[in-house]
Amino acid sequence: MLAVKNLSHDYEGKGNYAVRNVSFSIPEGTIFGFLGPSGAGKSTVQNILIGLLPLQQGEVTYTGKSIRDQDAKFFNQLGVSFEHPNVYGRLTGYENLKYFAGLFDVPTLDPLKLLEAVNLTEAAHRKASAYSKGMRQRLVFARSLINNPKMLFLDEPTSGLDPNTAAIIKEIILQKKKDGCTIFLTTHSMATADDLCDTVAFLNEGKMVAMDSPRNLKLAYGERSVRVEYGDNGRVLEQVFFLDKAEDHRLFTDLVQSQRIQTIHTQEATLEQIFMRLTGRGLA
Amino acid sequence: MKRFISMFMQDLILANRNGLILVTGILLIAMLALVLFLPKQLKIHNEMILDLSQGTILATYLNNQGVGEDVVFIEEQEFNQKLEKQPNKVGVIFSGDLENPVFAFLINSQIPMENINLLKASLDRAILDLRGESTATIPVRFLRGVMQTPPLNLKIIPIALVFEVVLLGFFFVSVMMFQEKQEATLRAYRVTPGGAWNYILSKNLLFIVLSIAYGLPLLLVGFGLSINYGLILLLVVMTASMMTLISLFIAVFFRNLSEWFFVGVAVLVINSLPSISYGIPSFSPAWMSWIPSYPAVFAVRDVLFNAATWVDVLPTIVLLLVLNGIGFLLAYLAIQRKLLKEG
Ligand SMILES: Nc1ncnc2c1ncn2[C@@H]1O[C@H](COP(=O)(O)OP(=O)(O)OP(=O)(O)O)[C@@H](O)[C@H]1O
Ligand SMILES: [Mg+2]
Repeated sequence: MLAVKNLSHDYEGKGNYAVRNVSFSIPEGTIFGFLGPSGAGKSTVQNILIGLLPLQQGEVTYTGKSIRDQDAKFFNQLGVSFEHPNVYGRLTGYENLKYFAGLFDVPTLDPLKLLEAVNLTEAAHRKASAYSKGMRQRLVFARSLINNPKMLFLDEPTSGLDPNTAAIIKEIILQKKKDGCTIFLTTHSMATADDLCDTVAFLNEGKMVAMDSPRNLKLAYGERSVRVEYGDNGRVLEQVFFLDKAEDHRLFTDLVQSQRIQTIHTQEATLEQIFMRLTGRGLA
Repeated sequence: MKRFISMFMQDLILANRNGLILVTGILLIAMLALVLFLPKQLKIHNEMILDLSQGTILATYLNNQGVGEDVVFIEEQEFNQKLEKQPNKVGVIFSGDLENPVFAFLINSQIPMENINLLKASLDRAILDLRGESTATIPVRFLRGVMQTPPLNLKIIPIALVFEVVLLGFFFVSVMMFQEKQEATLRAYRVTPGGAWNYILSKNLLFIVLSIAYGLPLLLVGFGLSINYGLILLLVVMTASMMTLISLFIAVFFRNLSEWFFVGVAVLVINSLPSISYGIPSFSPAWMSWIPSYPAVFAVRDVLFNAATWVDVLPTIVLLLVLNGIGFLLAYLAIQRKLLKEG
């Protein structure tokens, strides 16, 4: 289990916190989705968890052992897929994987099989500098699996991929979970989080605003929501109201009384909408 | 060990794809061509000797030793005419007799005192020979130095061994690190059990292998099997290793090649200065000998041309060993504390 307690991070040491007082834990064999708009601090948290950034405040423990006390062997259990695909451009896809496989003390997977799994078989022996961004991203994803890690950290693994390829990656992630892997998944994409995660946490401006299973979040915030289309000075506007919220309830009844309503649909709120309600901003 | 081999293979592939092996190969071919085709000596003799003694004993002796007519004269007029046309030569006029030899030196141009002294010493030896006196009192090594200045085509080999391949290594090891910084592959490396130790040793070994691959053919072509290969390769390897470590250390503190450029090139230029002293022995200011490549190049020279042994070059080996130790420590600290900790 990975446990994070009261994590804060200040890059420049000027009291300007990129991440503030973040706590959560990820039980073994589950997928934890870390969601938030750009600049929320998602990558910062991931980088602290994998030791790329120093732990300034708070505590991070892996099965009870602080990250401060981990040695080089710790990395044998870790797989990391980076936000910006970082591969050796002068090495082929195959060579990139082969090289990294050689760095671990634990048994590693067959590079060619991994490349096949992410649809890179044909490009396996081409230099990575000739790969498209999406191909490089798949290569980095494949690389994160090379040492059969117990803990997988995936920073935006599907961003910028076409739906088919993204589906392949998601399938692999679910398979890894079945194998008992604990997964920390960072993403903008609420749909991805919804499909994959056991728990999601919303991060906004460095702070956690909600954390629960997607289903519970929807139950809590989405059960009694209605989407309303209404006329406003000749334009048609659309808005979602969460009727359990006093404020929303009041606005909704006002709207009903104004008789400007054109259509009403009850609906299950998406994670995206819930995030908007919680933070007053979108995810983009 | 598996990890180290994997890293070494990767560095080898990268070095190749970056053109390092090609460049080294071309340089090697150029140097081999010089060794094979450069004349052994640019000027056969730098001196002209006029023998004015009774019976021209010295001239006869020198002629018997195989010294040519264009060096030894007995006609003063001819000697003067020829000397005037060749102001670079040292004129020597011998007068007196064997018991009381008198040498007068005529010098037109700037000629190092060292050369004059060497010439004087060899003439003194000739006189001793003529007197039939034992030459055992004169140190043998010194005589070798006088009699056998290294052939020009071989004289360049120490330069190639100590400066050229090292220059390539110094430059390329930085280039490789900057690529890793730029591609951010170092971040990926940091989340593996790789560590600083392997990172350094793999690159270091790459350039050690390269320096041998470059030096060995040169030595074989130039000297055959007549030299102490163990000793010479040890010197070459230690020099290459030292510069690789320094290069790794320096590159940690820069983000890319253009930021590195002036510092990197300055270090390279300073390191290359002792090649001047090697070419012009009279130019050896004291500070020069503080540059590590200075003792290195002269140790290589002594092993190649003066049959120096382990014992003779031991101080240089110890020095290089210490410098390698310091270099490794610096590189390790910089890589462990900075390169593998930042951002
Ligand atoms: N190296 C750095 N130095 C200083 N500030 C940084 C650094 N990296 C990130 N930040 C700041 O920290 C905050 C969080 O950045 P972070 O990269 O963690 O966001 P993110 O949630 O991953 O965003 P995105 O979705 O765009 O990847 C931002 O305000 C960013 O400007
Ligand atoms: Mg990010």
